[in-house]
Amino acid sequence: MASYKVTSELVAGKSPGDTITDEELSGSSIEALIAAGHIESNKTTKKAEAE
Amino acid sequence: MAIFVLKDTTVTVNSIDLTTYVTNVELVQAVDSVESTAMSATSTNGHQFVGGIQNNMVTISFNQDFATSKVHATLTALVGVQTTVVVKPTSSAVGATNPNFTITNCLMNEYRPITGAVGDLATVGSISFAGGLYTAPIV
Repeated sequence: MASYKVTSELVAGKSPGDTITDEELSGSSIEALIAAGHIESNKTTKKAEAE
Repeated sequence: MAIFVLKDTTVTVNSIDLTTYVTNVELVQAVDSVESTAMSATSTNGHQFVGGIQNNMVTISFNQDFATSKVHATLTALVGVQTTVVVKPTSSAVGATNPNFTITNCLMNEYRPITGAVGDLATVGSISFAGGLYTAPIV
């Protein structure tokens, strides 16, 4: 399950900094949300994975 | 809920709450009329139709905002992209008297970022999300 960081104040039911999953975004265009600056991918670094 | 005046109808487009920019909203629940009239020597009732596939439409007018991640950014990214629109009569909790009308897999094929004459408030031209599947709680 992919998750995203909320980056705008207009995402329904969320606040900036919250995490939202693709399941919660079912039926919505994730590409459009990223393009519009509402969410961004939660990137996991190798260092974080090692920890 | 008795009759009421629209004041805080909530509108969510592609999971984005654009309620505070919406000035007008119209949701049409429809199906195609498919003609089923057949030859009959005794038929005197004219054309006959059966209900076809859903042909829904949500039309919304917005005040425009070109700031980052506001109205323009949200809508321009959705041109030609299937999405979901949710309309709720009031901002109160969802329930039998406040159903959340949902259209999934609908499409906006046209977006007008600027509409108006000199002296007017900057608005988005009335845009429509067509097609998709209509669902709402059974009241």
